Amino acid sequence: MHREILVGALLASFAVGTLMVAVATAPHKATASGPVTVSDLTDELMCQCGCGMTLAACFESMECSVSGSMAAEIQQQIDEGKSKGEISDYFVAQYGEAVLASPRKSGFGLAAWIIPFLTIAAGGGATAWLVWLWARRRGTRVYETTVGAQDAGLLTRYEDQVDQDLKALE
Amino acid sequence: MPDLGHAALLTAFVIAAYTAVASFVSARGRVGELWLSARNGVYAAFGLTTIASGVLLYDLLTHDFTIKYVAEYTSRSQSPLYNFAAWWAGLEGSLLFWAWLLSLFAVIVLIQSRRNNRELIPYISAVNMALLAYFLGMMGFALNPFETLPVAPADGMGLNPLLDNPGMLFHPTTLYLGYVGFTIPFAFAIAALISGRLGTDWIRASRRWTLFAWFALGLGNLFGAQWAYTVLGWGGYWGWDPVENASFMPWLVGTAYLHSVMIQERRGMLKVWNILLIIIAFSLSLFGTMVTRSGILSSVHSFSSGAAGPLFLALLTAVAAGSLGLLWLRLPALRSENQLDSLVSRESSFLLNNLLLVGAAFAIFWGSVFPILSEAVRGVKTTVGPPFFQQVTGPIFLALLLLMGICPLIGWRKASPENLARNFLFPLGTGVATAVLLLAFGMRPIFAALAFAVLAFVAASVLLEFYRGVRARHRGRGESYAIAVPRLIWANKPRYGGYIVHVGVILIALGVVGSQMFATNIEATVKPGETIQIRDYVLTYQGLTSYTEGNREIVAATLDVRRGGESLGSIITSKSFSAGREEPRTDVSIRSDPREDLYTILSGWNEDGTATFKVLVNPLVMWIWVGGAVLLLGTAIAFWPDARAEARLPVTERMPAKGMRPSHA
Repeated sequence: MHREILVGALLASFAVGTLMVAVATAPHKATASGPVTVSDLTDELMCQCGCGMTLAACFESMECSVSGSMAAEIQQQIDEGKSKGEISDYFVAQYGEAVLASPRKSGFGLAAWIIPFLTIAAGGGATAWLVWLWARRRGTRVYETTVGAQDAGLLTRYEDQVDQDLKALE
Repeated sequence: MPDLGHAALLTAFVIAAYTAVASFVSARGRVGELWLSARNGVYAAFGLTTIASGVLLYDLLTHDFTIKYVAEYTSRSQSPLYNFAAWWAGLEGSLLFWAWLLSLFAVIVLIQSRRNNRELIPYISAVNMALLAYFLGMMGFALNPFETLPVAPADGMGLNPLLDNPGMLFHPTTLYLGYVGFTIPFAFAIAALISGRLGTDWIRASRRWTLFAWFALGLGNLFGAQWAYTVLGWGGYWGWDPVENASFMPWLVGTAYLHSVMIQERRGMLKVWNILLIIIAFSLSLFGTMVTRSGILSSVHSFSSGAAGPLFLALLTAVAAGSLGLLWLRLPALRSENQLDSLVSRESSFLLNNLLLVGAAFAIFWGSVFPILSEAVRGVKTTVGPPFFQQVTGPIFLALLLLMGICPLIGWRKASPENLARNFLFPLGTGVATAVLLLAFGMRPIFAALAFAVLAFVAASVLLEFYRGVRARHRGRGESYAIAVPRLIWANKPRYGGYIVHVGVILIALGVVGSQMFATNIEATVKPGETIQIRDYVLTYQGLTSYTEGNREIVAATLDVRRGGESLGSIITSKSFSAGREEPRTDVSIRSDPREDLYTILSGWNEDGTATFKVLVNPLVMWIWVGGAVLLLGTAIAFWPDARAEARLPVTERMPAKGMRPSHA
């Protein structure tokens, strides 16, 4: 019985992990069917003035000439009919990969996205294993220390009493 | 005066270093006289650090521009309040603030331990004083706040205009209270490891310190969010900046610790895990201070100095290696009879809660250090910014919220299927009904409806807990429901204080989901008399005015606001230019109500009289601040002394006695 539950828990943690990876690696914002706008990209590109903020945040919070000219560059690219991906590539060619506000979901950058979920999934598996082990340990102890039905009954009564006491304390 | 300050720092360093050694030796060798000397050392270190701080404050307030730090962060025109706040505005001053807080906390712990923790207190003092000596040494020999200039300038530079805000008084101070506060439970844990007193005594004794540090850090983050929202002017409250992340990580690990110690107190389990958590929380506090001070990660908050990075890294390495080594040595003594009565129990749900909280902290840590890793491995610089953190932590936090609703519904030790079914019926029904209703009314994206449904489930779960407790008192003691609520809370403050904290978290999450999922914005350039429409708001631009206020030139735009045809009055949004500073400060207009915030920013203007505005409608933001206040209330209740708690013993210590009553012997 416990083995089935353990397998179930492991599968559940795998499913949760997969779901989380799926959510995380999905595109950040639902891609609108309409034309690309400047604001579609200002949240996903970093300002190069050294502020450490996205283009959108820097543009609004500081009087920054760099963010203004970068926004103008985005508009120029849009006017040339480029797609969002092509505009991102243009900025990477201009400023390097660090201009992207998050790593690419491919190559080495993919590690950034999946390692947290793989770690949590591994931790979930380890937790499930520990819970199963500790629950089994208790079961083993009961059998080891039980010498007769009378003692088992006493133990059950004692456990029930502890449960009641705990409830009263809470 | 600067010489006096520096001399006080150096003397404090010598005394703190002596006290650290003397405390340790007195405990190991049981030399009472040496401990008396060490006790006095703790007081002397506090006194001298206070003198050094007093000297710096005096210099800050009296404009002694011969001191480099004073010239960099104060000015004659800056108000005395912000000249005072300059204490923690720069690197050297904030190190002194850190050290002063630590010396103060060391004295408080010493006074608190007059009657209790006699075995532990010498070791606790040794840890506190060793850390204090390190900070004092950093300032005494490398990062001197009293460094003088060859020629004093006529006036100082003053604070960056963005720091000229009441947030400067509350945000850094509360964060530091949290960072330094985590030193105390860490010192208790190390003292327990060294002394071999590895039961729950150190956890109980340090519980309020942990709660205090956790709360201060949480409040510091909320103050920071509020400050960013009202001053930075980009319409957001959390930018996933490395420094924000650095203060969020120890808070998450601290939250995990506050939950997992309950299992140790009740069941004697997870002894190693709890010590590990407090070591991680404190190490992350040091990491947070290092990130802010060293400039190792690019951040709007950083003020880098060459010496600070290596010095903090050395301290962090020593703390992590030393404490983990000590833990390793004590592992045989920490073996506990880990056993669970059932696979489904409060204990196992708390383990899952710990996994997700520590997992979230790891995800943020991983994102924070990934640029360094990428550069080391590939030689290519990358950025890990807000989109990454939003996407990675979003599902983890949603799962955590779900668990926050599930945990109270599962009993300690074991939960029977009937019990589970009865407990889950109302909360689950509420959550499902919320999801169905929201989706039926067309709410999209589905993730938002799902998030609101989870929040409804958690709220119903907490409500059920209160209802059951109140009903029990009503039936058992005949109390009216109105009387039973406060009495229930007062009778078990840690438990119900904790649930009130959960309510605060629900409200904060409500605001975050609403504003992240449903914010709308528009940018428009208009002439006087023209209007901007966003949702059901119509803003009519009236014109610009410019005037001088103190040392600032202010350009302000006035707009009349109507919603659904009803006039809501006028709003003013402006930009102010400080003398000697190129960058203006944006003063946004925020019109807030429980439903949404109308957030208006003056982006720019032209000579032809036109002005450009960015207008945002951010739903439910007010609930983030309300949630913060509820969090404050809940923590205060949980923090309040509970006489009954002292009488309680962990389950593992209970023995069957006459009539099967739990023994308190």
